[in-house]
Amino acid sequence: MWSYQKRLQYPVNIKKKDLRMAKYLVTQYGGANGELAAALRYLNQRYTMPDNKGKALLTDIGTEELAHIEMISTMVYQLMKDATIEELEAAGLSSHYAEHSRALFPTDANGVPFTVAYFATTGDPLADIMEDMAAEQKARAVYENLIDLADDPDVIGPLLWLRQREIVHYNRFKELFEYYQTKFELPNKIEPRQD
Amino acid sequence: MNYYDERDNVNSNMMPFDRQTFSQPAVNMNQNNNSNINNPNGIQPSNNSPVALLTPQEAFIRGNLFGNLYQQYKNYKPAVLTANNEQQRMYLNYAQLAFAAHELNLYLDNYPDDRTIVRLFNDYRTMANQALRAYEEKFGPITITSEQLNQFPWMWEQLNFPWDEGGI
Repeated sequence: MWSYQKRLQYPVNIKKKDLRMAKYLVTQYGGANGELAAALRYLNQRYTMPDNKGKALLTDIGTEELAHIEMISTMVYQLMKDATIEELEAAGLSSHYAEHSRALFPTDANGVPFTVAYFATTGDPLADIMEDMAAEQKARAVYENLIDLADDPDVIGPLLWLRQREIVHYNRFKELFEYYQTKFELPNKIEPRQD
Repeated sequence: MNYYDERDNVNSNMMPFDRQTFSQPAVNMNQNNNSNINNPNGIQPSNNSPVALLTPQEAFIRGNLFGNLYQQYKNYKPAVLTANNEQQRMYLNYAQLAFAAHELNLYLDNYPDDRTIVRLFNDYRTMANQALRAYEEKFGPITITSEQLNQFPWMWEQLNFPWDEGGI
């Protein structure tokens, strides 16, 4: 189970409304490489990891991704807060307003809604962990695109921080991948799967 | 152990957690892999360990406890967080320690036999728990297991939620 802490993992305090940035940033909430996809991908894959090492890492990184969903959601919320209907229309967000008013909704930067197809899972630990490594690299690349598009230090700071988390997670997954490679792929070390 | 530096005391009239702009020349951490040159107070786990640990304070602003894994983006420097009052100061202290413990948690998932890091994890875990209790005692509950909830009326709503003004 999980317990909530009433705080962000890293502080977010955006004072300047910026609907353009909100529209881009939402992809790290509901896009293919976003935090929601990451959290659900890892927390879904962990059940069929072959040992407690893999189950622990996917649980702990998946849990941290939940905290990143909250950071990104907070950023999108603060960027859109107090926007008038005219401002939303000018930013191309009137269709968002029609569907969701000022509520958050997980989509990518083009407004395509989140889908569970984003959390690829095969049940093969090597394939799944390799997928997770790629996911971290793609999320890092998207954070870099977003940093390029941003001009407010209050936005750039948390984006730099979240980008760095992708790098750490990538390296942890890579270590686990190499461990499983040795454990399962080397000759004479192949162990039967539990199924 | 001192987790603060003089940056905690500047800009005292500013809004919460002001970030410095990114105009200063960048420090390229990548050239200093496996060295504590950026981090004179950094704890080095052991001579043969592949990790070069930053202090909880340095790690928290970077989002990375591991100096050898840090990769700077272009010339962007990590934002420096400034605590402007006692509440922010105590909160940052907790957030830094909790982050350091979390980073070691992920590392230990892969390397459960690293005795030095197990010890360090427990140091940070203990200090983070103490810092959390001290914060909650003064400013209200962050966690639903807080002793501060043993009061009337119900205290869980005392602190604002993180996305709202005054939230952390």
